[in-house]
Amino acid sequence: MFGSTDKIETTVTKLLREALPARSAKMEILPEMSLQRDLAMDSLALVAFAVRLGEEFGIDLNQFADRIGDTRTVNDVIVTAKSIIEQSKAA
Amino acid sequence: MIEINPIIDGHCHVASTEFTPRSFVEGVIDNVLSALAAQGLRPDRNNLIKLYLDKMQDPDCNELIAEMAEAGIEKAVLLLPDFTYALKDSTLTISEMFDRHHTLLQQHSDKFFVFAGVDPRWGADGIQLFEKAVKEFGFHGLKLYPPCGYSPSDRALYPYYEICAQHGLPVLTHTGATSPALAFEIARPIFIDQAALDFRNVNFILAHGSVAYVEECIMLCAFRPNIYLDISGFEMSPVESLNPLIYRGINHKIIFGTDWPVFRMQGSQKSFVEKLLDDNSPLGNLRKYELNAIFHKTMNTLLSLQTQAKAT
Repeated sequence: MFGSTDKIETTVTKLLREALPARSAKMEILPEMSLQRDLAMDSLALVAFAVRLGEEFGIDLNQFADRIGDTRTVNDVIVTAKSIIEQSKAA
Repeated sequence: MIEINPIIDGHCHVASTEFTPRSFVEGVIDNVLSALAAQGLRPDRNNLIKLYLDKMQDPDCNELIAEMAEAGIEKAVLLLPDFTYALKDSTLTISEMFDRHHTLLQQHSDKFFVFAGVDPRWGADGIQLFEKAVKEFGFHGLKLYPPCGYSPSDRALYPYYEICAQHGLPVLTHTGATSPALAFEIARPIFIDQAALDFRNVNFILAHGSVAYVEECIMLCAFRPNIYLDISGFEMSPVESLNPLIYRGINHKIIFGTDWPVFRMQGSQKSFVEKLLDDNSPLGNLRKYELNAIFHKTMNTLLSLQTQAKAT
């Protein structure tokens, strides 16, 4: 279920792309990009991403929902997702 | 980032299942599930309901106050719609809900204003309750929820508007589609028009004016001096969706609001304020007096009429 850190990053980025609104779905995703301003992620897109993350890594949706308020950029999402996945592995 | 101080959040609710029936919440989740299905996602319904309900456990408003502080929001308007007539799974009576909000107001009078509503089909008892809330509890406005099955221009509401006129209170009414447990057609902004015409000394606020019927809201704000709108629900869309509103010469009629706790799953109050005040937000093109109007001045003006009414 869980892979290496690089693989997690690649998968998280892929899931993020799948959750993006159509207008930004084909944009290049860079770590410093703002989820809202650059990628036009609305509230539903964030939930969709959280659902995809939960399905892919078997983590509780609640864990991401509790920390979603801290995520502003693509890098924030990757760091948060990695942290939750690592915590799930350790549990 | 744009600096604004103070900020008043014109549209919040107490995050508690005591004031929102389970059937309403389940309808909201069904809307989310429907939207996720368009992306090929079918998450467990019960899990999503649990997630939502977990964010509705702040009956004392401690988490709201903490998030307000983090976001630089000085004060907030707590709205209490009356679902008890339309949805029969409410756990408290509307009178008990008024009492709970009275207690909160007493505990945090420096943080909150309260706009409370009664379904007009409760008859004379409802009018009496609202009048008591204004005179004895110090509530600051009337909250209406037409999707429960009544028009905001229903004559049964006119006694409430008389009270609002007498005490200088604003009326905030929901607009747009909502939980599928309720009616949608009646939620069109235009249904406020007759009441606004008949009560020119009462100010009416169209909730979620940036979301569903934007052109209709703009028209009403532009041509009815006593109609305003709030932008709560802006969280659902990219911030650019505010463009049609803010270039139409009605910025003195636009009120900031977040609709806490509806979007708690998607971000903090701070993140929503930052979304609006980001340098690249459409609001970045507005002048300082327009931003002040949106974030505090207009709501302050509407609320100050109550103080003026008391003084006369």
